[in-house]
Amino acid sequence: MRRELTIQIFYLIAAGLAIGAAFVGQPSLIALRPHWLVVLLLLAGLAFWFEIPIEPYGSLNLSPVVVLVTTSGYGLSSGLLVAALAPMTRLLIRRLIGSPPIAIGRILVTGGEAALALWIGFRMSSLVVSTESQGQLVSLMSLSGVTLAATFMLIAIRVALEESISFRRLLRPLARRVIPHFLAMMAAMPIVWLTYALLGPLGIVLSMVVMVETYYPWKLLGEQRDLFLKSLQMFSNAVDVKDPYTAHHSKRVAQYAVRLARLLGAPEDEVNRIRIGALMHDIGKIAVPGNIIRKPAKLTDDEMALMKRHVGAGASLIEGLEILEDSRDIIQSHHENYDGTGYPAKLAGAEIPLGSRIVFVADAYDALTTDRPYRKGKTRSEAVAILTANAGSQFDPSVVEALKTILGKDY
Amino acid sequence: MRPLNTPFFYISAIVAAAAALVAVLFSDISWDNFPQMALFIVLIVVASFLIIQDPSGGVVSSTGTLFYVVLYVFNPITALVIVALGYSIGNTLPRSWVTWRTFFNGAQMGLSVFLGGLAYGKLGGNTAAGTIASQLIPAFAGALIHQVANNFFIAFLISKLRNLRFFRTWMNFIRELLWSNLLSVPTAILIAILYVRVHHAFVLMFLLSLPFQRWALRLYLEKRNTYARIVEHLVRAGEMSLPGSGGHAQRVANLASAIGRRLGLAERDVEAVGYAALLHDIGMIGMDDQIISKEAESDPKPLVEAHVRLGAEIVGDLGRTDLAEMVLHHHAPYIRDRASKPEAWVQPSIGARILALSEEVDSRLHGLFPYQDPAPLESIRRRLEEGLRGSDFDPQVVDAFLTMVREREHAPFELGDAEVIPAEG
Repeated sequence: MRRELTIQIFYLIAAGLAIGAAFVGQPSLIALRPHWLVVLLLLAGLAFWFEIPIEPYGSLNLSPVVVLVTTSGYGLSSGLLVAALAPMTRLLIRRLIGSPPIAIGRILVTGGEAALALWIGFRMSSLVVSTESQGQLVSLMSLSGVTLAATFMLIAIRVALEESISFRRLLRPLARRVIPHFLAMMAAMPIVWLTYALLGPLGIVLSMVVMVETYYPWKLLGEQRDLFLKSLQMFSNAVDVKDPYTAHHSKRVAQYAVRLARLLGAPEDEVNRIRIGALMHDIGKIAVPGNIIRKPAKLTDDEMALMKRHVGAGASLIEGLEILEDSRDIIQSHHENYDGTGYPAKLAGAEIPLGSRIVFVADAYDALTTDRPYRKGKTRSEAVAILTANAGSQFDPSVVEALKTILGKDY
Repeated sequence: MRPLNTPFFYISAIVAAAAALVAVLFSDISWDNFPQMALFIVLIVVASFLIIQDPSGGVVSSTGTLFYVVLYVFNPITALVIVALGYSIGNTLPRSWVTWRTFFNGAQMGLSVFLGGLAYGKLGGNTAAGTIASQLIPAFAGALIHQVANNFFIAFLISKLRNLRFFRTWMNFIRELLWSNLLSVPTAILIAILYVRVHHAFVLMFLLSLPFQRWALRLYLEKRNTYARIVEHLVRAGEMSLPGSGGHAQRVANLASAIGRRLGLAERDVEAVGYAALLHDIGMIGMDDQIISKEAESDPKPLVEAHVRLGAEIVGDLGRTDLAEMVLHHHAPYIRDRASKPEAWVQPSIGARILALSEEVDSRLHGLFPYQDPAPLESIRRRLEEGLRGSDFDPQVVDAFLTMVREREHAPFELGDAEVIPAEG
């Protein structure tokens, strides 16, 4: 929470400085006529509707195209205004059509990020391209190139701060998701510029609709992926409710596991594998009767044997399924103790997959801190104390250490 | 296909009308622009080759945008000739030769473009001169007329061939294709203006964006199939803990989708009903031991009520209220006929009503919870015809189901697997 606030304040100050610097010594201020400014603002706001997800790092949208062409045609100050205010317009539009609102902090960061990137892009590209070519295609292209590069770096910095991933580790997977879209925007830029030169501001409107049409399948793709991940979450929850007190347990375990995996330096592909493994870790409980899962007293040996079957059942359940199968070993081994006394295979130490060790700790932490009908949930510090006491025997000590880091000072 | 009289005369009439128009207005065709006409014919043929399966069912070809460009650039009768030739060639080459289809497709599409072009011209559309703002209304109107006419021609034929209500079919086509069509108008205006005022080469811009779109769509479809397979597998796994219900969800989903299609729901809604049907018993996974208990056998009602509520809550996690609503109401008739206050009842959506009937049919057929013994199809049908139709179930849903059952007796009928004549999008 505090980290998020710091980031927001940082962006606000930076963007404010950038906008201020752009206006200093510019008597004419804004070259754009007010009604066109409104139209372009609306357009940039609408461009947000067109979100291209770059999971798990948020999403991109087409508003940079509007901002860049505006800057090229009407100068830096107009562009900065559109960049900084477009997210507000988006908020307004959402309010008008009754969509759920977005946190104001997010809006400010988005606007600040866009304005800051544009300012950096403008300053740096004016070093390369002479001011006479202002409004020419070549200046628009260099402006776009540098600005989009700056946008990329700013996104990377923000995500690295927010998700506590190391910046270096983030660059590659982020680039793989973002750069194709930025290249597509660059490719579209000459056409947008041409229509603008030919038809004025209305040309920008027209070519934006064209871009939306071309990009529509990407939006569908993103929605589909989103529905799929939510469906997995839903299935694990359907199993979790065999015990009403564990509803949404898997979802929380997945959240902890992702952060633990990143902190322990797992590459992003591995993080995704662990995310799905954590989400589906108890799916094998489909095969365990609900009255055993809910039983408040200690289980008999027979019942325990039945309960232990859930790891194998879960692993065989996802066998042969694309995507899920990659997480098979994580599910199979998420009850293996670090000292080799767990089940089903009595693996020890590094023999246990990292994902399983992470899921085991996240699973235990969430179970300890949740209320049960027969006992109150432990506090954070009590839970951490129990995990620490069992580090080395049951749990991987490095994972328990990582959990402490995540929980911060106040555990 | 069985030769049917009305469709035969209808097809002949459309082809004759197109031929007559060409004959009467022959002198207006701008033959001096022949190279340009040929260019567009070739482009339409190429675009027709690159057919993509539509995400929401059916087929998308990118020819729609090109038709609009033709309609903005050429006069109506020239546009008719270009489109009729391009479309019939492009539609025939990649598929098998069916004489009536080739001629009908060319003729109806030519006529649609002709009507659209007429509207564009009458409203003052002028691609060569005129400000861009003054082009917008004629351009959109022309595209709209083209779509409405095209949907009319296709809907009439399909409703005759498949015994559907014509007007509803027509309106469904219009609703389903309207937005994507209107969205492609700006592209067409842009290409047309650049083509006429700047350089002919700009029409190739269109060809450049095609592979990009196709790539994304293919990716989307692959992913969609993968995801669907995984979800279906998980549903089957969930049924393992419930005695005897293996395959129930999948069967209900197939039946519900087939009824939805038969009722002429939009493909997106059919998909939603199918997905809700697949998930409708998901609340039971958490109640497995209670379903098989003694109490459930003597009085299943509390459990029926509990599992729909739990199911709706779980499905609500998807953020799709339409799916949760269908799951919540899928036992509505069962719960309602024991409820004391009918006015407290909220009218469920059409999807929920379809799902309720499909669930009832499959559960009775296989003797699944809350029923105990399997019942033959004949007795279910009698019950529906006599009592339940109207009082418990939506009569139009029941009728659609009964019609399907009857048809199935005449000829083996693959649920939800009818041939689709491509409606142009």
